[in-house]
Amino acid sequence: MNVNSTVIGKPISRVDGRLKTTGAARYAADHRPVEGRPLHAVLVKSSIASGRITGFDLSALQSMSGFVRFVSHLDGALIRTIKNPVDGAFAAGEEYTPFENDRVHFVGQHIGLVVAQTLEVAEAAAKAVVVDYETSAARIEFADPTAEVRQPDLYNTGEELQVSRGHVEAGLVEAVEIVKATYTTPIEHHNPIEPSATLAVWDGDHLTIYDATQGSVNDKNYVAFGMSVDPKNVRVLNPFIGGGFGCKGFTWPHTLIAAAAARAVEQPVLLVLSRKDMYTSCGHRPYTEQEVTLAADADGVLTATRHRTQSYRSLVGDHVEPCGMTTAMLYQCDNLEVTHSVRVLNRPSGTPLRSPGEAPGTFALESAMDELAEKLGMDPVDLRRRNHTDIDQRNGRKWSSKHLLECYDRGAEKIGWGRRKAPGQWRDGNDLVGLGMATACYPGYRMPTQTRLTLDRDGTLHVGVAVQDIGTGLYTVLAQMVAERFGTSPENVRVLIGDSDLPPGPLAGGSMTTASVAAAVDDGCRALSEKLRARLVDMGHTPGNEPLVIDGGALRSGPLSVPAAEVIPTDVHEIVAEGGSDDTYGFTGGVETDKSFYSFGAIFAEVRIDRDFGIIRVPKMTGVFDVGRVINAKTARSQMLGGMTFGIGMALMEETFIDDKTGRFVNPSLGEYYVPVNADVNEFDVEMLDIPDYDFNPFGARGLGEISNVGASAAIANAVYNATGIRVRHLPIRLDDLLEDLPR
Amino acid sequence: MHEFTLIRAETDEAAVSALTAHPDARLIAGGTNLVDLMKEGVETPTHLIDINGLGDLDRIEARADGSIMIGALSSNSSVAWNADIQSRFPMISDAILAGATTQLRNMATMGGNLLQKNRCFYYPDHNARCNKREPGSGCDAMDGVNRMCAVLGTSDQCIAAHPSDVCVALRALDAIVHVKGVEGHRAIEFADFHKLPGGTPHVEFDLAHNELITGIEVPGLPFAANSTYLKLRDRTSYAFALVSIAAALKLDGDTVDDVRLAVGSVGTVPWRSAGAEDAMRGAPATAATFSKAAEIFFEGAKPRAGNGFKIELAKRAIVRVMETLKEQAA
Repeated sequence: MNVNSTVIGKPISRVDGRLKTTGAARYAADHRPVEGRPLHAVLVKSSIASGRITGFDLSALQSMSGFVRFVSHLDGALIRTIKNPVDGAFAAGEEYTPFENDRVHFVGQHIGLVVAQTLEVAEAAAKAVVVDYETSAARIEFADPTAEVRQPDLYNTGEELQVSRGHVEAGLVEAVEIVKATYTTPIEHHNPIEPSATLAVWDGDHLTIYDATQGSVNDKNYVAFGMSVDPKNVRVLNPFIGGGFGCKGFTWPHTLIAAAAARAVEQPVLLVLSRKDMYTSCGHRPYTEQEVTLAADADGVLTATRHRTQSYRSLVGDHVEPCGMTTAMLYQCDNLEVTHSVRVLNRPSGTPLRSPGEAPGTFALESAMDELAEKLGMDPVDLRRRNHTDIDQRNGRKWSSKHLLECYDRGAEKIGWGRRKAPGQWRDGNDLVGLGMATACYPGYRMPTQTRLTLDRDGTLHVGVAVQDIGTGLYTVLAQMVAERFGTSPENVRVLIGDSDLPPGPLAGGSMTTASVAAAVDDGCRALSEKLRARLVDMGHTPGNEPLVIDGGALRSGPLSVPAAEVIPTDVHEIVAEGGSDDTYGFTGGVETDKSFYSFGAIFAEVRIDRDFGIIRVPKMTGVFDVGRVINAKTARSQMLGGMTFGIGMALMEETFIDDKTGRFVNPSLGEYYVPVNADVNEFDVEMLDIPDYDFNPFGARGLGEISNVGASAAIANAVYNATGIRVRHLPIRLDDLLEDLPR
Repeated sequence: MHEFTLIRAETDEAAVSALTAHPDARLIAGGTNLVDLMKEGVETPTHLIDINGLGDLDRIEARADGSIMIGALSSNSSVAWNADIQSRFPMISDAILAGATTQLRNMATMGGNLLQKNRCFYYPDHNARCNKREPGSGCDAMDGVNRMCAVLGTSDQCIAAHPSDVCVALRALDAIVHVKGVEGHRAIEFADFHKLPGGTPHVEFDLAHNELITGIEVPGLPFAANSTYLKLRDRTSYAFALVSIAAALKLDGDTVDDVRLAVGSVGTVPWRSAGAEDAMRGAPATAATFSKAAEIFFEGAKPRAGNGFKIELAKRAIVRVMETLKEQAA
């Protein structure tokens, strides 16, 4: 690695920036079939939480001009039943096949689809479908005593959800201070600006899908299975995605329904989910109740840790919010118990939402650490330092690269931690001011990825891989990686992603794409380089040992310089090489290694709270992150800004309310589901340590994104405590949580 | 598909006669609320009567007697940034700018704002019971998610809070709503314009179907130059109020000479309390006086499970606003 690279780490503007800012970037719903116009589809969703569909009255639809077709479970086997959600080839959001039968498991379940000539007719027709139900008893309330409770063994990464080591009870006896408290986090939705959308176009047995998905390969395999066609005959295109945050990660029923409907009507079908559809069609973060026990000796050293998470799942979706997985890893503690249980309820299915587990889990753990520091009379940063470990507590391995202590130091310095006062003691006019902090962390994941590297006669490099840029900057990062390997500038690299026909890559989740493509690009560039050297030798040249540089339309190696147009025979137009890596890191069953891979950071927040009203403002947040080598300083920083904004939303605003009697989400709109507006976002101070982790991949990047909202809500909650002396153990924290007890 | 006919009215009379001819017609000006509700299927007009072409209704006329006549088609933005409004009635300007977004304020009209629908979560949801949307169906907010709902003026039929910002200011200023119908002009006291839900929560205004709001008259009130609007909410912008205060204060030395006080988002209509204002008039301009007035203001308030906090919050907000106005007056 060239540490003085002119490409890697530079704040290069997005190569796709112009397309995005001019509206030229086309998203799933913007596409149109090559021939003809698509029919428009609108979902019919259940209005009951549990029961059976006994019939549809479609009499009002038949007379509607432009109405084409209604499809439902009554159409028979439009879709092949998918028994197992994860058969290795794909992961689906629900272990349920749409239109499989007459069963209704939650409000908002897809029970039919109207296809019409226009969107307006489809919407009107969907409203006019009268559904007859036979309702049955529904379990909706979280505490419903009749709900089945499950204790799943593994998270979808293969990591253990029930962890025990040492003797917690013995550790409690050793302690001088114990914190035991229950923290809750609400139902939250992803709310990407672009709703999920699918355009399905059949050509004989060949299906092309323009889909708003975070995983084109996963999507392809799922749809191919459900449509009973060879995956080779399915192509998923997703060149641009308007945010996902997890709700476009696994494939959800609507994609399959659109494909099935298009086949049934023998015309292209466009299905764009409404904002309301988005609340019940593609997951949410379920409510969590977390009991955390932390015990420490007089030096603040943890003697026992217990983290019991209760959450829920739907009848058809197996998502578990893995809040305690961080706890099992983060601090040195020999006596630990982490459990997860889920109650099976008639609610829509959950799914990963930006930092699943880590975000709500660290709210609980890092709030409890703050409470423990208070009890011990210790500085919260100091308490964390005292429990720092260079060993992964889960498996005894060393971390590949961990510089968390430096994150604490830098963060404390930048926020001005020394200004912090005792709870409720810092006043400025009508404001109560406070500082809080929390540790941030996120696993380093890497998945098998293949790439295709091409040099054309102009001397332009092309890199192709079936991954996707969900707004993170991947187009630019890929161009930089290839440019780095061939000593050229990113402008000389064309990036092809968002197409499942390209060499396969992972879905955009787990902050793993950069790390995954890094190894694949490195290998692909090596393969292309070898081919080009062999070609130069064939041509009678003698390239030296110097790296092969491709710049200005020519190949250079030491003193040798040959125009690309000469290197590439006129009859082939380009030289193509493929390369990649089959290695998996961070997931169970991956590469055997003696290291553990994780990113770390420290988040600090300053809050100002009106002493009479309890309105909380966040004038400043500082985040210092140890995420390996940063490939692009600009897009990386943007990721962190987005995540910290997410953190403010999670801490102070976001909540989906459910009506416990009916099982309906009652605020399914961006007007009523609050996320931060510009005026809520003030000064963000982001710093990356930028220390390469070459054990993880040849570019030293560990990937980033999700880490930036891990710990953010706890840092804010801890700052609220510091400002007011009021400990709020649930999210979001609103003024009504503080009003009664404010130190006026 | 729900289709409607668009009629462009060229004159006030044409708008009124179109309304008279079509019992399920709606007027449309900015459309910032109506169009949303049409998309939700809550409003299903057979005819939309576009009144944007009506001549002088977008004028703002500052009169020599201190009053201002605001044409019903004036955009919220044009009123908020009007120099006479800002100097004579700053609470109106403050209230408008605390609401919605720049884009919405540019489209939304003053007449439309008077008719703004409530924002109860259950109102637009066809699967929920709502007596405003479907009379007699019941009220899911009563024992549901009611944090945003009202504590004053509620009935056993409806607890939806009135959501407007500027109406709170207009209530404090005793504005007069001017309307035109088939029988000519009518002037309605602002206090009478919005109706309490009682047993008929779907009847929201003292306005016949075929009446057109032409203007809002704000009577002269010199001491309203010392007025303000405070909005408390869950985020800094683009959120409905949890509680809002519109107030004006006139001091005579250390004594309250005159005062206006209206509170928003606590009532089913913009709320005034004669008792609270009377308690301040002639009393020393102290926190104790303001606090006592706040107590009186909320006498008889009926909180539900989720919205009791509004009472304490509003009381503190009243005191804060009065203290601020006192400092400004001094």
